[in-house]
Amino acid sequence: MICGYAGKVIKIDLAERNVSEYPLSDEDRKNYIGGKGLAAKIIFDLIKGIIEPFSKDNVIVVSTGPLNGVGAPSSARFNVSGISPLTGLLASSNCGGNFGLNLKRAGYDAVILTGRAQEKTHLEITEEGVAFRDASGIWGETTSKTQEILGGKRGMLVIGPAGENLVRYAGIWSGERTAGRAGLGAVLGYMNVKAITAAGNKKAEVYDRDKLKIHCAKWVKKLQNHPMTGKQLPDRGTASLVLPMQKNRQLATKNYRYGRFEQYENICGEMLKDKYLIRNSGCLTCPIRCSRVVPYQGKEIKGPELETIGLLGSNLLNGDMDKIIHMNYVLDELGLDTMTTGGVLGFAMELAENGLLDFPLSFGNLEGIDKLLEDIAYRRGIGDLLAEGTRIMARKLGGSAYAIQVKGMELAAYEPRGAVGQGLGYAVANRGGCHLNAGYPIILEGLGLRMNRYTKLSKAKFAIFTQNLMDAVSSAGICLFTTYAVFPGIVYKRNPVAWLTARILKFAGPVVGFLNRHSNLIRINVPLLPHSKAYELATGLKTGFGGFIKAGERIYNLERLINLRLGMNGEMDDDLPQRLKDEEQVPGDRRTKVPIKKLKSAYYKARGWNERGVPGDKRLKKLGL
Amino acid sequence: MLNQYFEFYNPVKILSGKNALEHIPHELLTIGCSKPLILTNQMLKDIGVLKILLDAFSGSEIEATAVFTDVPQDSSVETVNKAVQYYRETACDSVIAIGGGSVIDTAKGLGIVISQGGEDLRNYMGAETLKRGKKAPFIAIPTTAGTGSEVTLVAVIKDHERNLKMEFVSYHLLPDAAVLDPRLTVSLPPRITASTGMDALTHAIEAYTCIQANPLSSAYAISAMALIRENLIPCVKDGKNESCRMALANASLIAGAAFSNSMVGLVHAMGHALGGVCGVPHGDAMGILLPYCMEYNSRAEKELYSELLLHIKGEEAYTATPKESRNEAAIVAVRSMLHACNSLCGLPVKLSDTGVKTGDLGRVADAAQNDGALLMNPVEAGKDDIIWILKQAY
Repeated sequence: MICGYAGKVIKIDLAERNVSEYPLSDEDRKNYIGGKGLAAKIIFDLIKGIIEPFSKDNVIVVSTGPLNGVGAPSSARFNVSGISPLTGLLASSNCGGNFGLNLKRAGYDAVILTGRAQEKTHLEITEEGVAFRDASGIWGETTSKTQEILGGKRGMLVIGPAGENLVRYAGIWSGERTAGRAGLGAVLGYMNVKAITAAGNKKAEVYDRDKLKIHCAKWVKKLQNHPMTGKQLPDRGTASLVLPMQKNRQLATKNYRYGRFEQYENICGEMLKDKYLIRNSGCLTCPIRCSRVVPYQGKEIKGPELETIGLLGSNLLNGDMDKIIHMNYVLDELGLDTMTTGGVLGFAMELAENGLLDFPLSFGNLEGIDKLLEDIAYRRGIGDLLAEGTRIMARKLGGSAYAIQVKGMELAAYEPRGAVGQGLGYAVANRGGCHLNAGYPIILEGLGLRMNRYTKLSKAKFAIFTQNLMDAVSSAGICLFTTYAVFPGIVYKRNPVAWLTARILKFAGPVVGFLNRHSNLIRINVPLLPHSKAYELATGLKTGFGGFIKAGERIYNLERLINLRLGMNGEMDDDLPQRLKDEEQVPGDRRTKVPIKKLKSAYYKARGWNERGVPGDKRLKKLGL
Repeated sequence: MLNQYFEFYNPVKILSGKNALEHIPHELLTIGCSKPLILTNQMLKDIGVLKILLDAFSGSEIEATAVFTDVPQDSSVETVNKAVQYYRETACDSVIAIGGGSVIDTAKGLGIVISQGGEDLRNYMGAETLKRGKKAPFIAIPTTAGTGSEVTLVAVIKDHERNLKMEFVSYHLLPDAAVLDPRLTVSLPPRITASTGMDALTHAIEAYTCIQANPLSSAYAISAMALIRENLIPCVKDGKNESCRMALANASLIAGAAFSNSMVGLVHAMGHALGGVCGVPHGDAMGILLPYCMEYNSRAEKELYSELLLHIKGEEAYTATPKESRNEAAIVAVRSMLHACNSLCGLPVKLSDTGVKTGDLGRVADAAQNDGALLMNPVEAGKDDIIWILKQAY
């Protein structure tokens, strides 16, 4: 067995209450690393064609990575995958809660859930195996109450009322962290699984524990010394990005009509820090500690992240941080994804403006929001329609031009007309309108580095590089924020080096493209990305940085193959809503719309995919697929 | 835009309105016939529809004794061959088909074999492959308002042996007369009214948008859409309303005449495939697929689909809708009609409601790709596009 892994994957048939070992080979572990990569491999093998997400054909895979629990920094991340009821395509949702580490300690790399339990179920996973507990007593409870009742020192994964009621964007909670996107909470709800707990004391064998320890200590230092991971994120959290987004016209405002919000100062990270912050918090093992603890009705709760602030704030013309904190809390309790909820609300408000929906709220007016959020979670009244998500709403009512979704998933808070590379990422992302699966190119387009935000040059190649990198890092079990340190700290600051770098990067496409295509040539590990070396030291595999990122590319392509099997169509699905591709964000400034056709064509070509977004045989063969 | 060249042909005499059936004896005598073979099915006999027709012959010189009631729900080659035998045994001189699409298609099949002087329908499959022959005069009396079969030159007949839906296309298949009488459709249950109504709407919309559309077929299609817009939902709500019934029967016939000349496209290609592979009733498949296919087609043909709003929703809605949203508003209008039918009578809105398995979708797409109707669609659609539509509609 390869070191770094727990070595066992189990498949739980919920209908039959049958648990069996799933034959995942070491070769699979090597090729797909872990986390979302392993999950993709499992789903590729289990789901052979189009399925209905709310059916016995769907599966949920909860998986960990080889760097979970071996002492690497920011390594509490685990993954939940399945077929999304929001997109009908593959979904992987990453979470920083306490479940992953505990699952690995219980001795499992991954757990696969299949079928539909006949009774409301709580799955208890331990070193001894899986116990099926009656969950009828906790069915209907909020996410925090459920975890409070379950109690004990163990990893937990729970859904709230929204998941039980099959809201298409219900998330899964582990502690206060969330596998929020893509509605996998609703799939668990359909399966009648209210909670999964895991506990154990097993430790994965590490190939070279001493060297890994030294390497990780250096890595932690590197993160702490980096302006992004050592200063900005710990100091002001993810909300620190509000200011540069505002400056760059990247802050989704009024259902993505604009990129700037007049009241941005009321919802920025500085404001959150000055007026609300009690202390920082973060996932286990993480030196960045980007999470905020804020006061709320006499309690200390998790503060809102950037995406939540953007989508429940500027996107709804809501400049009231108290309201955002409140909504964030209510949505967490109900078990709803804050991001999609924000997108859905913004869309509903615009539909109402255009006379297509009788809706009680309007931009800047959130009177009665509590009842509405509850109605969504319980699918009552108009909430039943909103629970379907933006795409289905647009099909029923119209307004698709401003239904801000890709493949059925609502976009994140980054307005892509202020960062066209991010726009490309959104359009082609396997998960749908997700900023991270997009490859987060916006980090180069003003949120870290300062590449020209509107140029098409090099964007496709960089998006591919970051997508591959992030898939590999995520699969290993490491937080994606650690990849911010891929560029040296100096280029994040305002200085001539940063200025020059931004200009060089604009023309670096051919070089990045070459590296993307021939990543296997990079046999060494590079200091700026300590992940691959940590992976080698934990597993004993010799991949170098090239092999590591190539695995990321393999995973990205495998995800695409799964989506194609699920009926995805590049022509129809790799696209942006009309507002973002045809309407100028700044009227008269032709640069401020996403030239998606050209970007996509360059992207497909650079990926080795055909003009319909289908990976070519040559590339697949190179990737061993 | 006017086509550089087009053809339009519809020689069917229409007898439409209250007591229209009473005119049939006269029509038969005019064309020199006195012993029609009456084709129908057992259900129509049982509920008394056949009796209304037979009563119309009482006191006339017509000998209405040869009645063939063994037409199943899906017309089949075997049934056609049996009916041919019966026609010859009873020495009939004309054919009256009273029933839904399957009965009328059976009559068309029978007409083919009789005119060609053969024994087995299987020998005549194809488009315009028939010789003129000696055609048996043929009167079609639809009892559902949907297929438009009473004025079309198409017949679809299943060959169970080969599990194949055989398609026959010929001007020789057109009936000599079509009779619409409100007494025949007034007892249709809401579910069938809705399903056949969506079928008629699909005929009209595809007739309007397919590449062979021409000013005449479009005029027919527009007229049909207007009638459906005003009457479908009221008729599903209140089936006893005779004026709505007549309007829908006329709409169905008019849409039939339209698509018989302009042909149908993607929705039908996929609908035929769903029927063939999964047995989804034709009207149900039309209702489910229509909005999704419109969504697909309108991406490339936005203007054409924008025009539809005027016909599906009326002038007021058309003018109140911004130009750039009209195509989408047309799709939403169709969808809301479908959803209204769903809440009134349970008409399915998704493929998953019809029992289609996801595992069948690939085969459905294959079959749809080989369907001739695909050639007439205004936008090209490959297998992956068809799969995409099926997935969205699932």
